[in-house]
Amino acid sequence: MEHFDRLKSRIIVEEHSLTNVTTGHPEERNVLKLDFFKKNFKINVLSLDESRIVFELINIEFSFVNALRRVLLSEVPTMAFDRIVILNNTSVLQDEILAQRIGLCPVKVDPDLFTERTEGTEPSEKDALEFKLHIKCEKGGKRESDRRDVTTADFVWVPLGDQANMFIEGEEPCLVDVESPIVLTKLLPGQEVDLIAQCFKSNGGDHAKFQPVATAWYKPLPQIVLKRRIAGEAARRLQSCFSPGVIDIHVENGEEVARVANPRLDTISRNVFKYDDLSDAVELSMAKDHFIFTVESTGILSPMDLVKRAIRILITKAQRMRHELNKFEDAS
Amino acid sequence: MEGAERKIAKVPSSDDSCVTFILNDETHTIGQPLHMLINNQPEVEFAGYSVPHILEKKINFRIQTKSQDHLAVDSLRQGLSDFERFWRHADATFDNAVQRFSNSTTH
Repeated sequence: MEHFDRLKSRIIVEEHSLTNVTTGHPEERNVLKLDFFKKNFKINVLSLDESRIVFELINIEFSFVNALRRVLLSEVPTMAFDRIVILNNTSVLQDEILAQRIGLCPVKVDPDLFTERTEGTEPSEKDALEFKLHIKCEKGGKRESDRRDVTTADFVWVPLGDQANMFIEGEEPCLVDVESPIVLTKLLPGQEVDLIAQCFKSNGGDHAKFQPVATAWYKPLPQIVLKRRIAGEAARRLQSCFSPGVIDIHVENGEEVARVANPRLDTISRNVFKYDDLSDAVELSMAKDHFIFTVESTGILSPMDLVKRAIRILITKAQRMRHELNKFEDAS
Repeated sequence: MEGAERKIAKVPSSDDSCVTFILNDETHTIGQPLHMLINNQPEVEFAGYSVPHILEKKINFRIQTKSQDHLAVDSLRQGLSDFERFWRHADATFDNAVQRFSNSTTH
């Protein structure tokens, strides 16, 4: 019975193929039924810190998990540099290269405070954020230490309109430090960079610089079953086929025996099929409705916040379409 | 008829149980889960979507129901409503999960 259940909900990974992939007739897919979902859907957070969250989703359809990933990548909006007015640039980097580098730097401010800009209007406090960058490297020195790196820490925020009152002290808009300020260009003595940079709101679908996630990805839960006892040198070899921590060795009657410790860490690399004597010893499979989801933030929003915003976008998307459907029916 | 900026349009057909909807400004993000959900409805004979051209951000969503009594538009509406309810539940579940995690790590 357990084997049959396993068969229904797992994709078997063989050396050259994946089997049992079809999800069956849609009417059999319990995870698509709202009642089943409400009773059986679980989320467990596996790890959480300021830049990354790893959580598992159990009893959910893969297309939903993919929808979450797609929204995180291309529909959660942020502010990013979109217009740069270069007043002076005598650094070795060309204007457009410098501008492109600046565009990719994440801007740490809550995007909800702003609206998307309409083409042709003047940027205002409601839809733009302005920063000034003016660095001059002192003339004359010939030493390494007389040069100067222009970094994201050199940007100075210029409040537009009433923006000064929008932020409490210490929480003003700034550029994200990725362990240390990002180097934009390097100046030799006598060189100067003087520019005004404006941020607008958009999403990753428009340009990758607006993406709020360093990346977001998911994988199905791997399962590894050892079909027979693997001992001695073969056990060590088996351990080397998988990521560290997946297989561990314990001593039994003086012999080293392999045992599955933490299959979650596996990347389903199928390295075990390299060895003829081990190919038949292991059954690899992946769950069809159990996923491990990782979200890495660029620093603008916390990873928890990102997931919540993405879910909100999915809900609003469906809501808006239903409204449109009702309007559309009234019209016809 | 209003211009191409309408969110949902319909390919003209005389039969309300077999309809192709044009969802503007939508992609696989909503197309795939919606098609899985709508196919799961017992009155639906067929549900599927396609992206007519990769450079245009829209999808054609076709629904065919098993009888004239069930309108395709009702299936679409039900699918969208279920999608929303799935995600509302997921939202609450996520909040609980984060809460449980922070409680367990502070001990």
